[in-house]
Amino acid sequence: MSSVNPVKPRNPLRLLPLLLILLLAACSPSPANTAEPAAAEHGQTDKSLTLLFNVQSNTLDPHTDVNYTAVRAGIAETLVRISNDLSLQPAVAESWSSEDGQHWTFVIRSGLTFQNGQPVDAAAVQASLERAQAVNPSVKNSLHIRELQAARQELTIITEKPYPQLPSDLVHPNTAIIAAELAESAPVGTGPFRFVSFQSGSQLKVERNEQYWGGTVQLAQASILFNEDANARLLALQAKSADIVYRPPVESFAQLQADDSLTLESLTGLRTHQLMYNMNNEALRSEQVRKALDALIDRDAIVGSVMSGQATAAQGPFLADAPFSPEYLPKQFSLDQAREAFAAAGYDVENGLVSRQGKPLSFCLLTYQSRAELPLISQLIQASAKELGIGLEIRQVDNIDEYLAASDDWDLATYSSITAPRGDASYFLNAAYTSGGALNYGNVQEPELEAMIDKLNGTVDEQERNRLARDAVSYIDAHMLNSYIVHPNNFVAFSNDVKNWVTSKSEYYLLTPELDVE
Amino acid sequence: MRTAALPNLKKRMYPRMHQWIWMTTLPLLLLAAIVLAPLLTPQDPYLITVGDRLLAPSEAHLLGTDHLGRDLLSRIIAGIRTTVGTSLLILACSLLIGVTTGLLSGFIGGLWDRLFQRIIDAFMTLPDYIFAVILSGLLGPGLSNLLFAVIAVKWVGYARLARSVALQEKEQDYTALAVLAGVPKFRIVLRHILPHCLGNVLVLAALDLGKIILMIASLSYIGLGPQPPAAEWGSMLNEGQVYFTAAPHLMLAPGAALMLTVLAANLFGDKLRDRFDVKTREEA
Repeated sequence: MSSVNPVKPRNPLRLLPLLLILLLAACSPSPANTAEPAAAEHGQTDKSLTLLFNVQSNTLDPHTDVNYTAVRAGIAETLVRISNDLSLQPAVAESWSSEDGQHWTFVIRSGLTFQNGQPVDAAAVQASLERAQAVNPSVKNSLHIRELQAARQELTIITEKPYPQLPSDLVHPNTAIIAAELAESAPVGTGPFRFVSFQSGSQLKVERNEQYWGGTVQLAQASILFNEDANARLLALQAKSADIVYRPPVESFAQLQADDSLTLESLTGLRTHQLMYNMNNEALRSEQVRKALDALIDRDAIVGSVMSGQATAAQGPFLADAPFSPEYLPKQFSLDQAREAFAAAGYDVENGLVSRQGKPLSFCLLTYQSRAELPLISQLIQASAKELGIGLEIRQVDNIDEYLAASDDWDLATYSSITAPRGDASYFLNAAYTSGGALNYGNVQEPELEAMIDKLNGTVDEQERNRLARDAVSYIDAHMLNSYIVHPNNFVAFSNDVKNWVTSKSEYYLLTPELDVE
Repeated sequence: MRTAALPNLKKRMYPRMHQWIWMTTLPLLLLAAIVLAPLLTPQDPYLITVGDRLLAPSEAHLLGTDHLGRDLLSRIIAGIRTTVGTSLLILACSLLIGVTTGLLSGFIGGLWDRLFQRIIDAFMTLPDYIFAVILSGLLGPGLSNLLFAVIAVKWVGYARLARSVALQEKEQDYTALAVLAGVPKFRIVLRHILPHCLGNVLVLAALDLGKIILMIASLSYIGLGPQPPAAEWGSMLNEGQVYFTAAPHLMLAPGAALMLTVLAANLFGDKLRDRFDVKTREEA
C-alpha cells in the first residue's frame, strides 16, 4: 500500500536561523568597528576610534609643534615618558644613568625599529635630538647639551654643566625621536601608531604599528579631529561621531553625567591659567601696579562660575601641594587693596578712580578662544578694572603663541600652560623667567631670579633642588611677575564603548596601545 | 464687480495716510529706542553678576541672564543702539558720500566721470559682504573699523544710482535753461537734480537698511565688530553659541531681535518703494 505523504505545512521556525543572521547583521556596529577575520587571526582586531581634541594643530613636526600632536597621537615617542603619578618611565631609552649630573648615558632599547623598518640606534637618536635643537631654539635652550656621542645602543649626552633634570626634560614632546626624513609632513617614529594622513588644523589619521615594541596595539585605526568649538565637540559626542571628546563645555557637565552611555572624567591637571604682564610697558614694570592688577582678579568667582567648580584657585604657577611650591602669599580680590597699591605706585586715586596726571589708565588685554574660559576671565577682570576707572581693551587673537612671539602691542595677556608636566619646576622657570625663554613673552628680566634658576639648574640633590625652586617661586610670587589665576581640571567625556582610556595628567598621551573600543 | 471695486476705491482714497503711518512709525520707534536705550534697560547691561550666570527667563530677568550673569533683556535693548544705531549711521554716511559723488560725477561728466566710473568698477569687483570682511580683517576688529569697512562697500550703490539720474536729468530742457540762465552748477544739482534722485535713493536706502543690519551683525558674529563687553547682537550670538545646548536663550533672544528688526526694516523699505516707485505703484 502506497502511502501518500500529505503535504505538511512549512514550519515557520525553519526560517528562524536566517532571521537571526539577518538580525545580527543589522545590529552589527559600523564597518570601522567590525573585526576582520584576517586581523583576528593574528590576535588583532580592526577597530577604530575617533577622538575630538580642543586645540588645532597646524603642523605634525614633533620638534616644532606646540600642540605635540605627533606624540599625543602615539606616532612618536620620547626617550623618557612620564606616568600619571609623575614618575619617569623608560620609552625609547631603556635606562639612563649619570654619576655627576653632567655626563649621561642613555641605553637605547635594543631591537627597536622606526615604523619604516629602520633600526633605532644611538646614532639615529642623536640625529633626531640634533634636529630638534636645530629647528627649535627653545629645545636647545632648555637641554643645555654640549656634546652627543653615539656608540651602538648607547648615547652619551654631555651637558654644559651638571644638569640633573635632563631625563625629565627629555620627556618633553618636542624632543621626540623620529627618523630624519619627512619629519614635517609625515613623521616616522617608534610609537604604537603610524602616520596615515594629516589635514592641517582639521584631522589626523593613524593606523596600528604592527611592529610596536610595547606589545599589541588594540586599535587598527584612529582619527584625531581638531575642533575649537566646545559645543560642536559635545554635539559630535552625542551624535556618536566621536568616541572621546576632550574638554566638552563645562556647562554640559550635568547633562553628560545624566547620560548612561557616556563616562565623564575630571581630574586636577598640571595646567595653570595665568595673566602675563608685558614688562616693556613702563607702568607694568612697577611691582605695585602688578599687585594692584592682581587684586582685581576674583579667583573664587572664576572657579565657582566660569569654571563651574572644575578648577582650583591658583596662588602660584604650581599646585600648592607640589614639593617645589612655597608658602604662597595670600591673594585676595579687593578693589580697595588695588586702589592702595595704585596709590603706592604713585597714581592719583580720587573718588575710587585711578588716574595719572588727570588721565585714566588703559591697557590692552589679549585673550583667545581655544580655551573658552579665558575670554570670560578677561571680561571679569575688565569689569573689576572699570570700577577703578581703568580701561581694559580686550583683543581676541587666533593663535596666542604666534601673536605673543611676533607682537609687542599688548600689555596684559591671558595664557595657559602646563607648568610642571614632568614633576620638575625647572622647565617652567627656565622657559618663563629667563632671558630668551620660550614662554618669556612678557620679557621678564630679573637678574636675581635668573641667578636662582641658574643655581637650580646646576644642583643634583632633589631636596636641594626643591628648596631652590621654592625660593625662585617665592621671588616670583613676592614680585608678582605673573598673576596665576586657576588650575583647571582635565576633563574628558567618552563613550562607554571606549576601554582603557587614561586621562593623562601631563596631557602628553592620548592614543595608547591599550586604548580599545568595543 | 462693485464689491471688488469698493476696497480699491477706499485704498485709493487713503493711500498716503496708510503709507505715511508705516513710513514714520518704524523709523521713529527705532530712533526712540536708540536715543532712549539707556532709560529703557531694566538693569545695567554691563553689570557682571557671576553668581547669576546662565539663568533661565524669570520675573527678575525676563529673558534670563548671559554667561557672565548680565541681564539679557537689558543687553538686547542696549544692542539696539550698537547694531541699529551703527547701521543708521553707516546708511547716512553712505548716502551722503554716494549721492554727492554720484550727482557731481554725472553732472560734470568728462574725464572726472570716467575716472569715477573706474573707481566704482573697482569697488564692485567683489560682492559687498566679502569686500567688507576683507576690509575689516585688514583693519582689525573694532567698531570704527567696522563702520569704515561697511561704508566703503555701501556708498557705491547710491553713487551709481545718483549718477544715472544726474545723466538723465542734465539732458532735460529745464537743466539747459537753468545753465543758460547762469544758475551756478552746484545750485542746479542741489535744486533741480537732487530732488529727482532722492525718491529712488531713499527707496534703495530703506531696502538696504536690513542688509546693513545683517552685515554688521554677521561681521560682529565672526569677531570683527565691537569687542567685549559691548552689547551687539552679532557678538551676543557668537558668545551664546558656546552655551547653545545648556542655555539656548542666549542665542534665541538676539537672533529674534535681529530677525524682527530686519523684517521691520524690509517692510518699511517695501512700503517706501510702493510710495515712490511709480512702476510698482501702477502695478498695484
